[in-house]
Amino acid sequence: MRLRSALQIVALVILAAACVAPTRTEAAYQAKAVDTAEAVVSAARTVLLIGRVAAADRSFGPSVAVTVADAETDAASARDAFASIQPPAPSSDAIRQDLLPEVQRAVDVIELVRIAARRDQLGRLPAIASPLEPIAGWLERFATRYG
Amino acid sequence: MKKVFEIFLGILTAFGGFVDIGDLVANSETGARFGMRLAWVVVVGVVGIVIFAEMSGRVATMSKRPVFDVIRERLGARLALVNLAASFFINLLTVAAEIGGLALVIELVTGINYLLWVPLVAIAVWIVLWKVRFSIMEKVFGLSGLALIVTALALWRLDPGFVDALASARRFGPTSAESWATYAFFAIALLGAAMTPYEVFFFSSGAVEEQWTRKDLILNRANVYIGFPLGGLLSLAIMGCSAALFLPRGVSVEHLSQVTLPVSATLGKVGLVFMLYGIFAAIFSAALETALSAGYTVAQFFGWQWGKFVRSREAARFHLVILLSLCVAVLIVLSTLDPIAVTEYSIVLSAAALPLTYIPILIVANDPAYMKDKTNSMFLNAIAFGFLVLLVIVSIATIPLMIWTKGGA
Repeated sequence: MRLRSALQIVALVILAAACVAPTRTEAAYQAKAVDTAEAVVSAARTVLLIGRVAAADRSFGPSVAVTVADAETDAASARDAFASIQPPAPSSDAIRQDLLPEVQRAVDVIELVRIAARRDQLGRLPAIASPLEPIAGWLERFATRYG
Repeated sequence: MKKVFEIFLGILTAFGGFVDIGDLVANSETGARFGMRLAWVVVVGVVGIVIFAEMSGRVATMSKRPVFDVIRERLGARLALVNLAASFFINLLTVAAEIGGLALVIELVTGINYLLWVPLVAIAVWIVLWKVRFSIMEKVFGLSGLALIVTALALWRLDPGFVDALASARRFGPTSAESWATYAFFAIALLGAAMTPYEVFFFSSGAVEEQWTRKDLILNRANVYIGFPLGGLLSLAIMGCSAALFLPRGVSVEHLSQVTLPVSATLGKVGLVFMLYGIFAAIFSAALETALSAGYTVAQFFGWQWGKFVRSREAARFHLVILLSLCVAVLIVLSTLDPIAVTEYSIVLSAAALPLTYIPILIVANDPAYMKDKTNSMFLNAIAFGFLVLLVIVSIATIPLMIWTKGGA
């Protein structure tokens, strides 16, 4: 009986740990927004770099595709993690409304780059990835403003 | 002449075999976040592993007994069992990290998901361990790891990033974007990457495997005093590449695919081929060493027959431990835990566990009953005891820092 109770408590703790941690304050929410923006800047700049490398025929198709897919995973994970956080107050909604569309745009562009890389259209990557430059710049300014 | 060639080959093997998945990940991540501001830790780590490995090699040569045999005798069976459990667990994580790393390299070459390669890579490692002689295995993969010299060439070509990266090595402390706690956590990670306990288990057991005598102590010294520092330079080159290319762009390194980017950006496809080959060889070599270390530690603790110098049938339990360790490592990686995250935890926990093996070796290296006239010199003891203090501080600080910084996030 005691063992069963202990197991139930352990199961509850594990389940609770699996939930997204709530943010209690606006400052904590802002900090998570900054982390998200920085993670997406990193992914976007990685894609811009590998795009230029690939177009200059300095890498192989599979390596390029894997690098872009890894960056896509990072950006999408950052987006999903932030999107699942409940804003602590109505005043935090503006941060969410500002950040999420830009992050989504970045993920969409990286997705297109990944599709082209998998089709071995390496020469086209810089053109497809080019919208990431202003998006990364915007996200960087966002991170500086709230960081 | 034969002896000189043997020493030269030993140095090159130690040089090429120094870097593993932990060094690749820790140095790249650190370079991207801190520039070269933590380069001093690599230097400290190399000095530490040089002292540690030299003592272990000397203890094994003089006493004809490897590390874990000596640890059990000095600490007693119970305390040594705790030591074994901690060391074995961390070593197992490292085996998993190396297997995952190998699969990631093949994914970069083929574009096929790394999870599919994991069982095949483990089988390849096991076949090499089963079939190939110790000396051939050690030399072939160690020498192939020399291909990683391309990172130094890439760093040279990353001008003007190269100059800025080197300039940052003179600054102590975190960048404005990072905290002191994160800086300290990454310092521990770098120390753990440079001073992994498996290197010592492998090195000392290797001395027994190759039946080193007093005459081979010069080979021991040449390997660690020249080969390891040269390997440390490769670690610094990896950090420098990352610092020059990623830090100014705000890119953080999370994947092995990013580690190769500075080389392909500067040296093109030829450089990338060398880099991928070098990474594969270095990690394969480390996978062999960690898998063997799993067998060494357990077999030496329980007093079973161990080693590749006897026929496999005669060391059945030793080989069984290796096989089971590889199977568990495969399961860890197939659980879809990120191999890079596994690597990060394995190197940080390695740093925390270092005193467990360091202290008994330091004691035995000063005991004339084992060492005869080859005990530590006063000078070596002064440095070695300094390191002991450092390692104890690191060991105490690791877990709180890991929690405080959320694993360096």
